[in-house]
Amino acid sequence: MSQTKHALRVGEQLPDLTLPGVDGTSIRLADYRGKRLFIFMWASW
Amino acid sequence: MWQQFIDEHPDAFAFLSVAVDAHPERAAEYARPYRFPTAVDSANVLGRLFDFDVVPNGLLIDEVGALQFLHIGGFYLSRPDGRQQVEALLHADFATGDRPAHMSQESLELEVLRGQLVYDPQNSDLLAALGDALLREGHGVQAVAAYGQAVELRPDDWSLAFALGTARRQTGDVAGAVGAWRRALSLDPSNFTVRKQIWREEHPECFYPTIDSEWQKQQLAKEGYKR
Repeated sequence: MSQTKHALRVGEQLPDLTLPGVDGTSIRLADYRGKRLFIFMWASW
Repeated sequence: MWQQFIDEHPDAFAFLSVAVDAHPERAAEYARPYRFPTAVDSANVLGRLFDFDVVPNGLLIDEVGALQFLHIGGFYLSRPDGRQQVEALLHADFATGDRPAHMSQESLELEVLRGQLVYDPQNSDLLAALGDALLREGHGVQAVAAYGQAVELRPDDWSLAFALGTARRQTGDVAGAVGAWRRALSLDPSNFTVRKQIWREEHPECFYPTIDSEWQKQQLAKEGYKR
């Protein structure tokens, strides 16, 4: 039977990613270490 | 809605909005009214990392950078349980493994599958995977419904009919189980596993307390079984 898999599973460490902010800044996920970070992903389309 | 939630929980967590959007200028327009930061993932870096192709999604990263919650597709704070779910995550003690019960790995898998099905309700693979997960968690009646939909979408797949039978058996519906297994056997007449499941229900005396191999040989000949 088929199974749905995700590349990164719960409990695993996120790589250090940097994304561009809409205000022109860079947002680095590692800068949030020490805090609980909730990420909400959406799209304008 | 997110801005209000953030304002109601000052210092409880950091929040990042990520627009999975090929048009950063449009994302910026949407994000402008809010005070929380918004990033644009035009290159779909997160999509590849988490293997998703739908939004909206929610995920929680703990204090040491580990993923603790992932909900792909259909994640809305406005859902009846959305706010409660996020609040539970903000207070969960991940260091001791004290994750809220409804967010166990198994429940998370169900959430993910249900979220994907919101966007792709005719996907028989997803329905079958949902049936598998439900059956593992002991939700036989719901598993029957999921497999039933998958069978309707792929009526010629013996494995789905077989799974439907197994789920029905778990709910105590023996006649329904045998019916589904007979359907599976008609689709794959050489399948010995399916055939034996039917025999076990219809001739339990040949399987308990010992397996009567001689009876099985005679039964195979009687049924005209050919490999």
